[in-house]
Amino acid sequence: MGKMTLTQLRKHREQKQDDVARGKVEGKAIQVIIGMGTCGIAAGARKTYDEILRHVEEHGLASQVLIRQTGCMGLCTVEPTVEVVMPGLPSVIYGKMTADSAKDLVLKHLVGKRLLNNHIFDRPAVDIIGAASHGGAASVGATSNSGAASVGATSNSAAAKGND
Amino acid sequence: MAYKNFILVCGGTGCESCRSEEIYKNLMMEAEIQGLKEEVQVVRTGCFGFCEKGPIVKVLPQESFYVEVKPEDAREIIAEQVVKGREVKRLLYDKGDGAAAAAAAAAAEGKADLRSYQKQYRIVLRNCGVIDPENIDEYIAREGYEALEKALFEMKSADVIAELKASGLRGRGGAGFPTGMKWEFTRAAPGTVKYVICNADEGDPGAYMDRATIEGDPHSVIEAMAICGYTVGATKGYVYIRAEYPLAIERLRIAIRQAEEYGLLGKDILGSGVDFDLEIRLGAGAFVCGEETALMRSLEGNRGMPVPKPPFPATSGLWKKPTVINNVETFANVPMVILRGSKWFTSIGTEKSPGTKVFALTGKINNSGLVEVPMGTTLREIIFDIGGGIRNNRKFKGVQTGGPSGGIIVEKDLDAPISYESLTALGSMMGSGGMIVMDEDDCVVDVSKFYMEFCVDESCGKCAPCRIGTNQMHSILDRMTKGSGEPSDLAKLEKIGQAMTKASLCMLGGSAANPTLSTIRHFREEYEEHIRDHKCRAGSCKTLLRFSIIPEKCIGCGLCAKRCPVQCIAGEKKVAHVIDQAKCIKCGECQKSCKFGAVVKS
Ligand SMILES: Cc1cc2nc3c(=O)[nH]c(=O)nc-3n(C[C@H](O)[C@H](O)[C@H](O)COP(=O)(O)O)c2cc1C
Repeated sequence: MGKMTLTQLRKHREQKQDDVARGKVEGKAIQVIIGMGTCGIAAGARKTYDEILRHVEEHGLASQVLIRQTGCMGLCTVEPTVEVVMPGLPSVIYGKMTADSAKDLVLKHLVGKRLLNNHIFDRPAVDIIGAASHGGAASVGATSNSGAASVGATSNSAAAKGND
Repeated sequence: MAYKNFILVCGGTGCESCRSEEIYKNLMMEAEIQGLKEEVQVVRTGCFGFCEKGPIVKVLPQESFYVEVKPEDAREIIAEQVVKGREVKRLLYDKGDGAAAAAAAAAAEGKADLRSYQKQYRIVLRNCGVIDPENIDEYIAREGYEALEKALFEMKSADVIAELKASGLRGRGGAGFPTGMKWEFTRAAPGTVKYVICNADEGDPGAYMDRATIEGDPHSVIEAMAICGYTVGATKGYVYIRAEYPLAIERLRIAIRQAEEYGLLGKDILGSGVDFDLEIRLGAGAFVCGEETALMRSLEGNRGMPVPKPPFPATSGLWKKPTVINNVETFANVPMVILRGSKWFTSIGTEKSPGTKVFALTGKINNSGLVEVPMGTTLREIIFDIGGGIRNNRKFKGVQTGGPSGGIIVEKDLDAPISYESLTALGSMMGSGGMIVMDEDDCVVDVSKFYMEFCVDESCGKCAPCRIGTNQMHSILDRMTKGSGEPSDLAKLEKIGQAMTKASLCMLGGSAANPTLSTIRHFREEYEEHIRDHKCRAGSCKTLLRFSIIPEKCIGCGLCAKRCPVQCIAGEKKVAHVIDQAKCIKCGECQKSCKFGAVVKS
């Protein structure tokens, strides 16, 4: 994609938002999002990233799982943080996910569809991007348990609104 | 096997002490009794940071947020919510079912919906922890560069300024100057060559808001700077960032390259005819280079030293050209102000300080981290609700805002709503957002000495009040912590401090005395104890400590003598031991090793 005109940018944005709404990013339904700010990296996020990747591959999930990075969520005491977005489970944020928790994350959460004990932390604030631009809570039509996948946009709005 | 519901039970220390474990067990038991083990998973979580309303239970995917839950509520939660799919209204934080309606009403009026149980509201950090900062498409998908579109194609530069002025956005770098006015002065200044600078020097010890913002969402700053360039008529911008922030620099570089590729920076942005280029300049990490005039001298390739104002940067800044210089956080607010409008922005925060503020909450606090709250939130809410209170149940002593330029705020003032004015009135200042929490083990004299030492190191030396004053104050504070304070010292500190405050060239010296003066105001008796009694009640000034052994309690086991790294404890076996005070280095190992409580610190 080279230099864009106004119309091209708008079209490009719509297309990216569509991808998000359809719950698939780069064709994958499951996203594991790792906090990779300086604080996360200092707490070992790179190792966590590598370990999750290794277990995902070992369990033959590589074609379904996208592992992504993001910046600091602000939960510095519980770094590394990992958010998991997948169909059939509400999206949650895990804290204190050092490399040795990677196996649990893949086996229990991704494969076993269970949430992990003692690791969940609350999202610090509602998402102003999801909420306000769509005229408040009600609209982003989430199919109840779909845990609407995302490039962010819906991962947060899933947290900001009720179920259906 | 797939669960229909997930019940999260807060396992933070606050909630745990009020029976969250029992709630957890009861929920498991009820799920079993009611035959729903396959339908619902009960999960223990980390601290949800809403401790005063604990224990907290949250049910997903409905996002039902229950507060002050009791173990006997477990049956109803399972029977109602899991079986019948109905929320247990009486336990909800938001008891009316007005949440959705209120959000819609706020949206219809163009105002923000602030009714969430979360005390944070994130404008600046809206994308941090959400998008991949190295992928411009993710920023674009979340309304990224929409504000730039709006400014370029739907607004005249005067409209942008009018919107900013109406929004009441004020500089987040510390001084709180209205951003709209700054841009207006620069736009009105004569000349065709103008500049935009982003101040990402962030030298305040303990502060890392700007680093996290750039690391997590670099495009928000780039977009704002392009809007600024268009508005004031500048075609060139610089981000001045300290070299100690390699990850932020790398992400900013990637982001600038991507924005250039898409034509969001460079010549003829989106076919609008507007040009704007952005470059990164690295600072060597001197605190004074965060001061705007020194920063610009540094950008020009000179030694970073401040020059007197006026002239202000808006008329004569970088290379003597009209220049806008704003802080990272100030810029990160701009796209949202343009996109959502001033009405939305002013519905958040207080009348004179609209919007939010990001703080780096550190020190003796349970949940240290980055928080963004609406202005008007109280310090108590930040420290005790979001921050989860003081570590190890120690007693709160004070919180330092504004870093080496600010002051300490004490218990009695914790309920003041945060704003530029209120923090100044309390003898501190907003500052850039460092917030360091201290407990009873922190000594105010020692803390003041720490900040003064920082100012001695960072003073550029250009003006005498700062160069000499910081040194003088530091040597007085130093001797107090070592037991050689003199009765006249307090008066001296105050006198030198006042002189520095009045006569320094820039605010480095102009505010360097603040931490000392504010702690003297609140903790005068602790200073006096150091001078008169050679005593440090917090037990942190080592020279003033004295470890001794109570003969009646000592059984003469000899363990402390073995542990002592300087062999200054002597005594026969089974006879009370004695510490040689002249040799003791006050490391405290003897006290830690004694099983009989015979070693005391005084
Ligand atoms: C000693 C000293 C250090 C400063 N350091 C910073 C800094 O690191 N970042 C910053 O944005 N402003 C800093 N400032 C404030 C700047 O001089 C200036 O007010 C600010 O960049 C203006 O931007 P704003 O209006 O967006 O706040 C400092 C000021 C002084 C006196």
